[in-house]
Amino acid sequence: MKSRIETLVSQIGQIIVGKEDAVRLATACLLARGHLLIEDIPGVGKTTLAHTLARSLGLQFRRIQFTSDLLPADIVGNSIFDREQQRFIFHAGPLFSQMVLIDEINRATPKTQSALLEAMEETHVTIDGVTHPLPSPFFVIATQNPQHQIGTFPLPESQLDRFLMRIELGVPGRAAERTMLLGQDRKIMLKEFRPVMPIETLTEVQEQVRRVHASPALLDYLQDLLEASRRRHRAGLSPRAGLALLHAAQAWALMQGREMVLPEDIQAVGVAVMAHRLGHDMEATETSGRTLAQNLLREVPVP
Amino acid sequence: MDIFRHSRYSSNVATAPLVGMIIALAAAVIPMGEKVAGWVICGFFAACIARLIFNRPGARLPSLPLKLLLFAGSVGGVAFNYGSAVGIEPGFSILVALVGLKLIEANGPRDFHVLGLLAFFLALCDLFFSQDLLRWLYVAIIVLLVLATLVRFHRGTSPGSYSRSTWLAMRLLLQALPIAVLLFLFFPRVYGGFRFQFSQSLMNIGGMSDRLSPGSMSSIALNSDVVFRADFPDGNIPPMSSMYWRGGVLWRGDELTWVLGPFFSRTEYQPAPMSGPKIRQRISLQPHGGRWLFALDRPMEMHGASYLPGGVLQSKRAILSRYRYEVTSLPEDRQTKLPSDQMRAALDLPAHLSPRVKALVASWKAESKNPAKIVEAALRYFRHERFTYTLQPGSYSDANALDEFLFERRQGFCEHYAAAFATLMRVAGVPSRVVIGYHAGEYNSLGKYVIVRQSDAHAWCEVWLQNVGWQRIDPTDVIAPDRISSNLESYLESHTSQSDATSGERSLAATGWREIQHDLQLAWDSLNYQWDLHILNFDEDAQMNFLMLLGLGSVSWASILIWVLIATALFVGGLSFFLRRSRSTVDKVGRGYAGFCHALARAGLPREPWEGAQHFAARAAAHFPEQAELIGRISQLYIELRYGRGEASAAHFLTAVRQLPRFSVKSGT
Repeated sequence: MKSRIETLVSQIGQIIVGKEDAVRLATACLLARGHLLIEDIPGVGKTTLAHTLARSLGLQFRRIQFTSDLLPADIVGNSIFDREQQRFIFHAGPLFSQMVLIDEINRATPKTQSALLEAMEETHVTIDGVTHPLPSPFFVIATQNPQHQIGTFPLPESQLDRFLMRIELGVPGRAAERTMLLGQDRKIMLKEFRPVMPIETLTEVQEQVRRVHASPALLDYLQDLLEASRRRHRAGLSPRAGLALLHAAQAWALMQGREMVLPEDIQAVGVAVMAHRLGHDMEATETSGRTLAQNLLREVPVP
Repeated sequence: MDIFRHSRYSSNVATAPLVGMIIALAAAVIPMGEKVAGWVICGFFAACIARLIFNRPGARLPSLPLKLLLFAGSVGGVAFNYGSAVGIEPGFSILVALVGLKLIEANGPRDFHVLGLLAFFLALCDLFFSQDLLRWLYVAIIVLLVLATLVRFHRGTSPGSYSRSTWLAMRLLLQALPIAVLLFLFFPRVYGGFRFQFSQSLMNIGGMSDRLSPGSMSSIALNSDVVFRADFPDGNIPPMSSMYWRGGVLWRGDELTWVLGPFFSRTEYQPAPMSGPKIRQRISLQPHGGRWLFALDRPMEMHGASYLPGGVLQSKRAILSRYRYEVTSLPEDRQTKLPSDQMRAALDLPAHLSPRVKALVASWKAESKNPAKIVEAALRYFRHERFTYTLQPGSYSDANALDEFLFERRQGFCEHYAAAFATLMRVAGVPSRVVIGYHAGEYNSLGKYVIVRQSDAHAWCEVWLQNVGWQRIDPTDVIAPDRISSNLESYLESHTSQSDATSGERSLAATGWREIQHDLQLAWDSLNYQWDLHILNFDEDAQMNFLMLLGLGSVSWASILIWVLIATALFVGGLSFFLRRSRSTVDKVGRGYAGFCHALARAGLPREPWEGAQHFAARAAAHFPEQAELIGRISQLYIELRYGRGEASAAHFLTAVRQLPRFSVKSGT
């Protein structure tokens, strides 16, 4: 199992050069059945990462660019009257695919954002009273530009909470950038990719993630973290955040080829899982959520 | 809320702990209510309410000038109220006022802690006013509440349920209990010259005075305050009807008013050799502000008290705090010789006597010259003429009270009968005196002791008979025999219910309930008495006895104090060590791993608290490459045991850990 995941990671690594950590986190997020939020400036390879992931897993992939005039119907689809059959036929929107890349999620209006986030949470959409299940697996990667830009609608905390992880890609290092500059066109490379993991295997791995053992000592540590965050900040980590932390850590442990979760796993995914949930703390506007999450991990002792 | 955080006078205390603290403070102030000026109490509660109102976001606390004004106003007001700012009541009033002011200026954690300390202090101050068991429980509850509130305060924004912090506070108190017991038993009871001098109004003094006049006994007859409790260590309890608790002897009488009388010179007076059966009593006397020490008729001399010629004991100073003493009485003592000055005093006649009184006495003397016969004649007179025993005898004129009482109104309480009888005896030439004290009391069969209340106050008479000595004569016994055989309460009850037609229909259930209530009251009183006896009464002497029992009688206070401090330090240190250990290492495996980390730390590579075992192992292996295998093995086993499904063997792990010393010595260099 570990080798399979390693193959996956290294294959993505061929295209996203020098970003192994981000790639691993994205993979863990996928294996934990969570949705991913990538926050960074344009041009660092957010779309490419999503595309590569989809390709390597053989998932059906769609990309939606969010704009301020986008309506909920534009993403979930709508019913159109069919003359020949004399009735309304549902035309599924771009959301109906196994992997959806939402570009610049904070550019759409809150109405559209919430339609999307609802679909993410429920994994089905309801139109005209009919419930349409979304495909399985269903995985959303949303990107967002740093928020101090004009004309954006920042996601409220409650919606940020729906994303299992938030990662940043950042500019590649000098050597990595050189490789990229010298290398083949990424788009051609992508076309040559073969899926390394069929969908059945992916589902199986996702099942397996949930079975990774979390001992009482580990859960103690996890709860200490949650409690410490609640003691320290007015808006501490929610119970959902606790679950997210556990699932992400389980996925991480499995990726390490382990059948049990260690505190190190929690620490590895901790910043990605917690930062966007703590960043909205009113009391700590100056310090970013990332710093808060790091402080938390540094200050809560491992029992 | 955020905007106001930097404002100096913003209200920055979380509401929930503040409410708890205010409740605790108010609860501590309530028992002081009677002793503190009323407007101060009102002001205090106003401050409580004001502080709660201030505790909204945006509200500001009073400014400095306003606080100074309030401070000056309250101190000045108290000084004006009492005429002085010094003393117990003004002191307590100022204390309560200042706590109220502190409350409205309290801002932030530091002030909150000050409030906690003030609440503890106020709660302890409550004990100045009463020390019975109920008050102690009350104070204990306040202390618990303050502790729980402080715990909640420190829990920050997610303090958890009230029961959890209360439980923690209770555990803290229980952990402190051994220290409290140790200090209670061994801490030297040092009474320097410092004494709390309560003024009369604080003392609840009532009851006996040095003067007997019509109405002085009946005025306290319905006062159920406890005067003293007495038990009998030898187990021989005299019958209730013959329990005459002697308090004072009055020698100088004028009509119905009797006072203490002349001062007898000590040289002429010698206590007679005492004989007969003895009754030992242990009496715990409530503070009464006077100097009387009560004892059964007739007490022997007692250490620490003066023995007055009338056969009564007197304390050397006023009794302002609970006083406990042991005294032996001789009920059948007969003094055979009366010193001449006492004889003179016992025959001293009032200046004016009405002719009717003289004629009455003359008629008795005509029958017989024998003093014993005269006494009988007088008692017969009281029995056969229509005298009534009543709580409301009405007032008698000062000038001719005896005449009016004997021949016209014929209504009186015990003081009338005793005074009249004694005066009549003197007219007849029989030496007599009036004794005041208490009669009987209530026997608490649960605790096997007698409770004597103010309502048991009594006055009786003693006459001197040649060859017999002082003979107790209780004229009340003749007028109202059942008053002597039962206590006043039931006497009044039975006598009023006879006259009251409707009370005959009083239901049985109500009587039953009253009895149960009474039994419960007795049980509670008994508990209180035991508390009094064993806890509150553990004074200097009791402590000395206890130390003697342990064979430490000759050890100096200083060394005992040092040992107590050492033992306390050891206990606290041991407890915290134990608690730390049990928290950081719950089991063998945890301890083993802690040992491993400790060894590495000594070798210069401490584990960070947040560091997981795997991470640390990698770091350690890199630092000590020659031990990498052992470090890896230990860490792997630990991880398996700690985070795995429990398939690894703890024994293997512990064996691996035991190889540590060699490792640490080698790599430490």
